Amino acid sequence: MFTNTSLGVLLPTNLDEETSSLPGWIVESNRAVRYIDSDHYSVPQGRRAVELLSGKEGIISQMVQTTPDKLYSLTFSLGHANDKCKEPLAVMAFAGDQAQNIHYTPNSNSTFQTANLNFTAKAERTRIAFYSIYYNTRSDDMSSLCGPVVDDVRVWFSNSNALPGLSLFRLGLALLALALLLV
Amino acid sequence: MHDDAGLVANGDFEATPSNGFPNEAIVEGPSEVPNWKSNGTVELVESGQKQGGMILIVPQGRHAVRLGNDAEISQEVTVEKGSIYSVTFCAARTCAQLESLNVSVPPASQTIDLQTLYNVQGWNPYAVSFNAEEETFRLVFKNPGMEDDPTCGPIIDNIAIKKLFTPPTPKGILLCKSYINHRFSYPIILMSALLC
Repeated sequence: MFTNTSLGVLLPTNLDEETSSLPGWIVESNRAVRYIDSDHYSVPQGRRAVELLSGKEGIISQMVQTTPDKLYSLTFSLGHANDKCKEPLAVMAFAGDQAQNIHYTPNSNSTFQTANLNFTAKAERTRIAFYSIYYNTRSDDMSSLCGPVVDDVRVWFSNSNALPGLSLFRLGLALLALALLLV
Repeated sequence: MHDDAGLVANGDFEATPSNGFPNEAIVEGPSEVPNWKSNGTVELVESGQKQGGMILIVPQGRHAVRLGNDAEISQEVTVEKGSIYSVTFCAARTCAQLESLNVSVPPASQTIDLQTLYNVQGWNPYAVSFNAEEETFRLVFKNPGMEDDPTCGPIIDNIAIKKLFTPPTPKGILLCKSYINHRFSYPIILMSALLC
């Protein structure tokens, strides 16, 4: 990452999962996605995140190991990079045979929201992928490409995907695991 | 400057050549760009330099390098065998119709399309990755284009490499969760916790 530039780093097409600048992920589109850092952008979690650019032409994906016929939940943070990107911002999230578009809702207290998508695994490997629904540009120069930020992507094993308080349930599960670890 | 500029020598092209920086002159032949082996029309460009009516973009510092038709620069880099390295650099397109840049660590190579302008600065930082199959690798930047004007071609600057940290596969975490969900006995939970 460049320490003194505020442009992020473009990750061009890369279909080789083994050798990727974004370990674990591939950039399967012809166009690039932007790897951004918290020094210059708002990122939902940690120091870095991915900003999706140019609509369907910028796609990141990962193959996740799953057990067929089990229920899973894909959760992720969807945010605004605070780079004057003109809204609306939205992503299309894919997990197995499920696809859902999720709009970012601006909130004065936070630059991101969490989203989730439930799916049933059909095979031992399930593809999860994201692209931006819109072609967004910055409001100051009207031409620099920008878009929604995706971060903190997780696939959870879930046997209660109909539960409304899923995150609370998950928190409980984490506490339970912690308690068991301490025993 | 880069976090890890140390692995690539003169990656920012600011080192002064033995015969000084050329002023709007074309450098040909090897070792004209310090620390780099060049082939074809390789030109050190200076910030503010013009070509026709176009001001050449220098992404960082005072100097950058431009690759003409089929021209390339390369450097031998010492790496850790078996590790994955990310190569970062800045690139700008100039006057060609379809400009692209081929970055390779033979035999692996990747061509980056420079056609899309992602911002108004006119240049972009890029990152590509390579696997270190030996103790050293040759990092090659080549302009694969063939334009009418042989000097038309991408400008590159700020080349650096960094070893990547690859996170472990999250498979274990999922297994742990499933163990807990299925209320297996304590020893298995503890064992799976250890595996995480």
